[in-house]
Amino acid sequence: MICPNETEWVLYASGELPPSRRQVLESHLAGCDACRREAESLVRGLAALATLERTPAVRPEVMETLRTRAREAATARSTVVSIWHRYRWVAAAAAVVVLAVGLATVTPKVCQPTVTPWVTDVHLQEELAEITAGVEMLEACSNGKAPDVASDASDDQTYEELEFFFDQLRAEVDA
Amino acid sequence: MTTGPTDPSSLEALLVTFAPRVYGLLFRLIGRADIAEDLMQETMLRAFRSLDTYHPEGKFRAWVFRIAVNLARDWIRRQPREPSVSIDEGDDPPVAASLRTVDPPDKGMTRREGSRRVEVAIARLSAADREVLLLRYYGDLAFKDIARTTGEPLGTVLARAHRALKKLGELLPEDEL
Repeated sequence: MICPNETEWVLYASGELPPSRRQVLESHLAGCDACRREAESLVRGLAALATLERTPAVRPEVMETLRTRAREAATARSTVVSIWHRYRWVAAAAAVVVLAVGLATVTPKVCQPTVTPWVTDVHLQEELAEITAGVEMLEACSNGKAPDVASDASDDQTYEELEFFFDQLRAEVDA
Repeated sequence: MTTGPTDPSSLEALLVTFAPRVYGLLFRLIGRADIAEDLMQETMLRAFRSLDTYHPEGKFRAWVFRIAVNLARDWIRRQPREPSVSIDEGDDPPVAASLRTVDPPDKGMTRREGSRRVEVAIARLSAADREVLLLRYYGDLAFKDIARTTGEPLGTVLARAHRALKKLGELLPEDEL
């Protein structure tokens, strides 16, 4: 039989192998000195570990502090739970109102991009001016007004260009 | 009378069962009794706060020790790194040195004859190897649970345990089995 690998001996020494596999390894041990030494070494390691105090005494004052803190945490928790049960519908309604107000406030800003004062880079300002012109042109299209564009420039191309500009702008702002 | 998970008797059972072992683990991981006491309290409070969601069939014990290990790792990570200097053979690494100089609350823990060499040997292990061995001993966790606790593959955990146990095994004479 090929010798089991070292990690399997760890499981053997720790008693974590299923009985059938354990039996196989024990049969192997009977005829393999190297593996017997290996297994004995690991068992000695576990025995050495067992010389440590497993449940060291914690200072009584530390335990008492811990009990006090745990009781306080339990009290605070039950208070929060009680308040939540009583007022959860009020909180839910308030959350809906806040969300609605937030959406109403934010939405127009999203629809109307403007050049913000913190953009000081000249190159970036030029690109923003191009983008703004593109947006105005698209708005003109959507309003049914014919824009003054070159004959070979399709709307799709314009959109792609705008998207490209926006991507570049985001990357630069992020950077 | 109801006996929910947050009633006083459950709290006391939790503390008595886990606090000493968690403290033992943290003390061996960190090497400082005062810090181990603080982190043990934090571990127990965090566990206690989520008792409501505890199901007996779950690996609650593994979860408690995972909290402890994570707190210990965070604490160790926050410590300033000492300059890398070569140490003579026989010098103690920081954890071993602190075990030598700090008197833990339970003197039996480090002063007992016969375990002194084991303590130093454990302190000399790499942090990751030591973690596996101590989770096995103080947490009484199976290696597959230790793998989940440390976030390492089972094979890696077993290799760490093998290396660490071999080193400890060298401390005991062959006739002391």
